[in-house]
Amino acid sequence: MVKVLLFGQLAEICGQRLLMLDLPDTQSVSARLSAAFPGFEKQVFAIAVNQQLVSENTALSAGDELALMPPYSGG
Amino acid sequence: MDSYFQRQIQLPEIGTKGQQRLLDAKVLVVGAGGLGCPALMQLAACGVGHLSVVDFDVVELNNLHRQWLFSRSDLGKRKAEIAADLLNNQFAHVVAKSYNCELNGDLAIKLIRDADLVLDCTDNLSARYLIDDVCALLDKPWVHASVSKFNVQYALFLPGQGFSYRNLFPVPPNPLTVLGCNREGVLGVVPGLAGTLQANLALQHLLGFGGDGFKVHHLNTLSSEGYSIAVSPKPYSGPADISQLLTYDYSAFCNNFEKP
Repeated sequence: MVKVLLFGQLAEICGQRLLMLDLPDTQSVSARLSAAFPGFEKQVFAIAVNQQLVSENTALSAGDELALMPPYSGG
Repeated sequence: MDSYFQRQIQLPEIGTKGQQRLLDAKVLVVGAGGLGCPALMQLAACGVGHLSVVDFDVVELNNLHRQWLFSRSDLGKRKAEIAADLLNNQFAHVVAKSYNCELNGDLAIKLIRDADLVLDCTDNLSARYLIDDVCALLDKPWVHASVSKFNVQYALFLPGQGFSYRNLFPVPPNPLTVLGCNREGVLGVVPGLAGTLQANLALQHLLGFGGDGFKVHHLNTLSSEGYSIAVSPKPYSGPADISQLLTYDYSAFCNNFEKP
């Protein structure tokens, strides 16, 4: 299982700030959340694995922590 | 130097040398709203000597709960001008200049070239990418902060060293999915914290301490939980030079709904 932390708008769309998922890579996490939560697929967000930004699809191992962080614009 | 900054100078990390550095520093603050008000106040009070304030907007009644450089008697007046006047009046060591207009490419280049550091205190993505790009091409540091409801995101970007907003978000979001304070509302203290965190990063960078690598920070003000993401430096991916930047359509870049 991997721990998925959701920030800002993403947490609202998914109705939770933390999810536990059993998936092999970052792309399948995005795909799973897009399928499960309407509106998710339209979101832009940065992905971090174990607090390190990743820009390509990244393989995940049990115990990894993902963070999905969208841009904010309020000021 | 009199005792005005004594409590800061007492810190071994600052001393008279550090304080003088702040007094000599030139900081550009883009946006004098919910982030800009606290950021400007903190920078000025801590002794940043030269502040330039850019804002095209005028004061509205629904700004006052979080934009406390302004009062009811300022309604309808230009934010940048009022903010700069207030800072000049309150702080003898500050020279604040105002630019009552939108930040475009030409103005951004002129003002950022002359600044040691930039704060993006706007609430719009076009300005953010413009600042990121100009800072990349002119090798200047800039400090970002933005809020979404009770959450704050903030970072010190060094685009000239490969850490830019474009690293984090190469593709801007669909503007309909990023709500901002006008549409989703905000508790006044949250941008107050965000602008203060921004000023804190700026002051530490100017003083030459603080920070540990390229990181973007997040604060959930409901749970008081912080989270940081480390970012590896990457080649800059924006306009290749100033002339390309001046013809770059930031509004189209940030408002293209058909993004993958």
